[in-house]
Order: sequence, then C-alpha cells, then structure tokens
Amino acid sequence: MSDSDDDIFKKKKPSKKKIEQQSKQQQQQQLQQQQKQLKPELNQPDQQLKHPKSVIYCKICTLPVEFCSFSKAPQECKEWLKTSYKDLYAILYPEDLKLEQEKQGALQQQQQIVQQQILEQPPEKKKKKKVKVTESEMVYIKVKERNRNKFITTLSGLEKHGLDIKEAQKKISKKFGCGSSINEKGAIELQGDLSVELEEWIPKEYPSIKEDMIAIQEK
Amino acid sequence: MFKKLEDLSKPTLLSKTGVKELKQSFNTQYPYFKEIEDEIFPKKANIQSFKLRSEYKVEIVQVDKDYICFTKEDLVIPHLKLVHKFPDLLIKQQVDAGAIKHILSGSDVLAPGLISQGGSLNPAEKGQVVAIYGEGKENAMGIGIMNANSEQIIKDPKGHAIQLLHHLGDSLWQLSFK
Repeated sequence: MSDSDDDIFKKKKPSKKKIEQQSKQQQQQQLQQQQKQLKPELNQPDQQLKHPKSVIYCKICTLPVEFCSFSKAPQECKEWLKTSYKDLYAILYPEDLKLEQEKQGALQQQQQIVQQQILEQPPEKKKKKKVKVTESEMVYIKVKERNRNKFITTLSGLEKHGLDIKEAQKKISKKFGCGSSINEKGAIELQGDLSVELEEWIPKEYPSIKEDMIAIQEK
Repeated sequence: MFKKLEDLSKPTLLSKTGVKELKQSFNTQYPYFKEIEDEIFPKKANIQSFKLRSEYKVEIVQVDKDYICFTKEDLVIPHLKLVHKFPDLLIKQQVDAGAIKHILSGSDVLAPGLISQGGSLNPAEKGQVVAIYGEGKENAMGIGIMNANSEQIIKDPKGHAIQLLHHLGDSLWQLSFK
C-alpha cells in the first residue's frame, strides 16, 4: 500500500509536548487581547488631568475676558469682543444683544412704512383753475385805531350782493356783542377789532359770498 | 508686594543644583506637582532668573520666555498664568462679589468676606499658600498666605485673614504681556 506509507512519512503527527505548548500559547494570546481592551478605558482619565486649560485674555486690558468690567475702559473691551469672539459676547452681555436687535427691528419697520407710503400715493391731481374775481363783487374790511387800545372796523361792499344793510347790522351786533352804526357812505362801523372773526363768519351766514371775495385792507 | 518694579537686574542662567533645589521645594509644598513636572520644566529648556535689588531675597524664574514662579525667603509661589493653566495646584478660597473691586487694587482679604453667603472656606493651616477666587468667576484672582488656621477664622471672624502677594493687573502681571 504505497498511499498509506506515503501519508505516514509526509504528515507527522505532533507529539504530546507540542500540543500542550500550543494550547498555552493560545491562552496567553487571549489574555493579552483582554488586557489591551481594558487599557484604553483606564488611560483616558489620566490624560484629561494633564492637559493645560486654555484661557482667553482681552487684548486691550490684558485681563481674562470676564474681568473686563473692572478695567479702565470697559466700553472699548466690549467693542473688541464683538468683532473677534461673538459667542462669548452673547454669553457675557445678553442684555446689550437684545437692545441692538430691537433697534434693528424698529429701523426695518420704519423703512417698510416709508416704502408703503410711496406706493400708496395717488397720481398728481390737476391744478384747479382760478377764477378771477371782479371788483364788483369784493367786500372790504378795514381796521382803525380810535384811542390807545380801542379799534374800529368798517365793512363795505355788502350792497353789491343784494343784502339789506340794516338787517346785517343788527345780526352782527347781536352775535358779537358790540356797538354799531352806519356811515355816511353806506358802510357798517363796529367797535373793536373783529377782522379775523368776520372773515370766518360771513361765508357761513351768506353762502353766496365766497372766501376769495373778502379782503382785509391795510392802512 | 509688586506695586512698582524699579530695579530689575539682568537675567542669569540657573545651575543644575539650583534647578534641583527648586524642584524639591515645589514637591514638598504642592503634592500635585509630580504629574505636571515634565510639562512645566521640559528637558532642553533655558531657565533664567532675575533678582530684585529693592527687596532682598526675591527672585523671579523664567523658562523659555514664560514667567513661572518667584521665591521669597523659603517659599516658592507660582505665577498666576500657571494657576490658570493648572487650577488644581493650589487650595481654593472664595470671596464675596462686593470685594472683587478692592482686591484688584491691592488690599488684603478680611474675614467677613469669607464667611458671608457668597464665600466659602476650605481647611488650611497657617503659613500655606492659597489661591483666591471671586463669586461667579471661573479663573483665579490672586495669591496669598494664610494668617491663621481656618478653624480659628470661623470662631473669631475679625481682622485680616489672608495677606495678598500677587494679584491680576500689578506690575508682575504686566511684565509678561510686554
């Protein structure tokens, strides 16, 4: 049997000693692998203690950033913080951030209102044509001085609109509580300075007379 | 102590025996120093020292252009920048918020500031070097020496409790920022 003889000579079975040695080596390798898995867990807290802590110092006052309010110029330190470290600025000064955001919101609202007003404006209206007033329709008011503190007002031109002078005289003297009389030329004279009030009262009472027809004559 | 630095001599190199004495005094006073020794004093570093002529027996130590500590008669006191990097070196005492303004201008720490609501006292003995913190702040403010035990301060809260040696913004601090 050549096959069986060749097999025996080629493959040599290991002896008992070698089997024991191999089993020991395998056990040792398993132990080393277990120790390696445990070591990184134990090493981490030691490394954390040794690392130095990093602190940020202000460039202007050379103190740590939280002590900037005790320095000589605290506002300059604030502006330096805004540009370089925005996160720390939000943590240390939260009230200043709120004020700035409110101001920006108010500015934006104003801009929006202005834009809306520009859009809402209607197109330009046509100018009204002025109608010329002829002299035959004008009413004149004059003011004169009687003594140091007393004045006289004269009304003229009411006849052109077809109004009775005596009735107008009675109405005016009742309404304003003043003395009145009629001139030689046909004008009404009143005691006191009533030029401004007459201007408003006449167009209401007699709607045929318009505001353009009344004029106050200066001395 | 460091209000004005007038007479600073030129820097001189420290010998090997001088460096050994420094490290020994560091080890006896601060037990946490063993783990940080390699980071503060690296191997190939230039260690120099200055001397003050106006105050005797005060030296300032410099490593590679970083100020580290100064010595006074027998004590070794670290610089404030070291304390910011490794805050576990010194014992911590906390002061009220209203006293921060006075300490930053150079006054001593009084006992009522340590006992009030905003402050805290840790057990320490007379003659130990201690770091001072403010209420609501992360980093240290100053370094001082205890005048009495912490138990005696709790019984009799009167007088100066801690003597100030070094604080933020004095002339030693400004030296390191030039």
